[in-house]
Amino acid sequence: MSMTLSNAQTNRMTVFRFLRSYGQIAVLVILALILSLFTPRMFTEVNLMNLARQTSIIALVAAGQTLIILTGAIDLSVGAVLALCAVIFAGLLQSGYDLPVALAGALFVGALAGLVNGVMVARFRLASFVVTLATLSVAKGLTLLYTGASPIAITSEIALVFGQARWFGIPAPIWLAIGVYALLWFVMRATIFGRYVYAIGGNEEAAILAAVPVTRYKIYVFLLAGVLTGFAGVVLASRLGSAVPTAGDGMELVAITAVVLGGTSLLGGEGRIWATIVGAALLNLISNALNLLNVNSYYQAVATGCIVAIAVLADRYLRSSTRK
Amino acid sequence: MGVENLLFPLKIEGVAKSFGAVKALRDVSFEIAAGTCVALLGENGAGKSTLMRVLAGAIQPDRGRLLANGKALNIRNAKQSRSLGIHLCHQELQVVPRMTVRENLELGGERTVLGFLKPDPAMEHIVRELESMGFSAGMDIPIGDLSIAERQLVLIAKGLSTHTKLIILDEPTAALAPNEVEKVMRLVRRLVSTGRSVIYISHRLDEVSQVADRVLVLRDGEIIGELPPDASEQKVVEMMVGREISNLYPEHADVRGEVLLKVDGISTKSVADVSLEVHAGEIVGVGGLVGAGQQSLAAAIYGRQAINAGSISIGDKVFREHGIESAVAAGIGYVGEDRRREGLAINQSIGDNITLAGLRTGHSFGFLHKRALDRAAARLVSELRVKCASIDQSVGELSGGNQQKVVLARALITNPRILILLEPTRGVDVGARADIYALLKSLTNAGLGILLVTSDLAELMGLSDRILMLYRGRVAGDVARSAATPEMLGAMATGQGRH
Repeated sequence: MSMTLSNAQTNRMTVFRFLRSYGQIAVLVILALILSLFTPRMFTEVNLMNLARQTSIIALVAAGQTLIILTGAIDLSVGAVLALCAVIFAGLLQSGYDLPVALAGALFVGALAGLVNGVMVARFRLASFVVTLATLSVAKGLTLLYTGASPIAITSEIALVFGQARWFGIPAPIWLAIGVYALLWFVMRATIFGRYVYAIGGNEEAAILAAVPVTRYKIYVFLLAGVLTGFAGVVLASRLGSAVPTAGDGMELVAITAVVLGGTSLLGGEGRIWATIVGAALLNLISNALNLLNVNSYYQAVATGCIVAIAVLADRYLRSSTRK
Repeated sequence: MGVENLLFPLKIEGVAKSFGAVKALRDVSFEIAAGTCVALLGENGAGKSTLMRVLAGAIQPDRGRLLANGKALNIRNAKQSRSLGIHLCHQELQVVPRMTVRENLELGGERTVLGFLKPDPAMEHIVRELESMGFSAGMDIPIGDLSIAERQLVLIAKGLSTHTKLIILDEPTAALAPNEVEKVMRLVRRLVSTGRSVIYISHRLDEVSQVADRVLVLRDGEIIGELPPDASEQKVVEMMVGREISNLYPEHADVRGEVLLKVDGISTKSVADVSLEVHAGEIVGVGGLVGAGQQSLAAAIYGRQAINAGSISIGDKVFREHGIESAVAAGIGYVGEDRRREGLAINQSIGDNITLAGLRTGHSFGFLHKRALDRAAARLVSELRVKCASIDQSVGELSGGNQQKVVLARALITNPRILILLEPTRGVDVGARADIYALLKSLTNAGLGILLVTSDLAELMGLSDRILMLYRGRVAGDVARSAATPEMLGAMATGQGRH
């Protein structure tokens, strides 16, 4: 309804709209700040770098997950695919292949997993939950078959560049994550791909009727997410100096948590890519603070779960109280 | 019965309710006596649904009170409203499709002993009433297997349960064909004759004049007047809109141009051997009972549904099979019948919703021409008189009529030559309806051809230059508007007309 609003009202609406859009992040930031205040060693350079480096790998995985969730689907296979790509990367290097070949091999496997997921979901209209659950199992099995369940060490110095190099004093994984997010932010904003992703998640039927090639774009999304997951596997292996077959266990849930904390709707069509990296960072920050406070790790898991629930609840409350 | 006196006369006194800066209800007062049907008319956004939600206990008024037979009521939630005997029938049919008719009727009011379900004798009463109305499907089939009309009847019949005193019907006939509307009318009369009261909300004035004892008009959150049930349409509409509407349906100009769309004997899974032509500058209306094949015909032309036989010519291109992308490329715009399900991404902005169909030509190498797209969206928003703050506003915040205009704008952004419209004014208030009709008029003047599928007989006759009636998937008649009468179209729709 068009009406003239006083300045005060307009301001209030801006505040409301801000809270509605970023409420979850605001709540998390406040929680994290409170926690940090009690944590003396939080704001040291070493700790912050460490934190950022941990965040960057989760963030790479969560980036692809964000796109998938924006289309209204979900991907449970990312952790297992990440591990598979990591061992393929290390395995190819160990067999004497050059870095580009190993990198291409890992990304190819990631892309292949994404393609299979995408075709099953988009072309054959299976539920993404089930399809990716199956892919998780297959990828996990292949990883164990390939490695015999033992880690593969990376001996090639140059292959450690993705995980251990420092550019302008900042660890490479951080640059890589920032680069990927900057690129995706631009793609989601300014390209037809981005708009179609939002349209498909917002109302798939409407998108089909508007002649959007929905099947194709859903496959693209899974494909891209697969490549990103493969890349995350490479970075992780490179950082650790070895590919661990169990490195991705449970990572799908961490990634989904980061996406949800960023405020992206699990129903699709609503959310922002950059918010996911904030979600991932805050999630890490909380566990880091609990670590520094010497909280028993069993309690840590409980505390993290509670904090996530509180953030989501507070967000729901903020949204409903600012509606209309 | 003495029981009714506990609720009636029900007095609504000075009720007001605001949502943020928006005053949904300003000061509403009226009274409902036992055994009467009060019709409530008003445009979308006039406050009807807010008022109903107050009665149903879904929201609390800021001011004002409800008095039942002189005693103040405090309805704090849906359960209390229900226990007072108030039954609200929503516009969107709220059923659980997989559950049986009986389970749906009992939903929320199940009778239990220690948590175990026990049979509800009131159900048997409802079953008998439904049977007396010719409902034969039985109580133990999934409600999803019933037609929309049957579901609607079942839900209204819930009001016949002994406990219910006041039934609120929110556009009960919005999705129904004329012969089904009659059943609803009979059911409403039955409710009233058994001493219950009905609040009847509808956009269809002819229905109101059939069942209502009193007609109240709501505008901008206030009751602005009461009319006799037989008041003229003109008078009612002007009161609702608050401005003069000289003629809802625009004048016709006979400007039939070249053939834009030629459908030649097509068959799909639900139509057989249908042929039609749409010329530049004309509106071809397609009518018939629900499920006579109108949707399938429209879907086939738009490339949504497979064609088993026959062909479709769009301009100079002939298609035997095609998809949505080729239909759009050939110049067809399409507005589906259910704007929430297949029309809008409800959480996204007006601009994003409108430009969706224009993206395929609105980019270079995948990079969007954002400014040009936004300009096109803004131009359509002002041309179609969409009431909104800006194109960045979420489409979910708009009223039904304005949402429908957004869907229309999206179909127009590709500059189509042929427009296929399914139920373009369903659930749209009369002011927005007049806007949409005027828009269609200016589009045909500009040389577009329109294929209009509608279940609203008045709309079909008011807008179409030619009318095609379908009966069980076949063409039952194809008449010029000047030759059509309601009786004739009704006969064709039920298979009694000429073939």
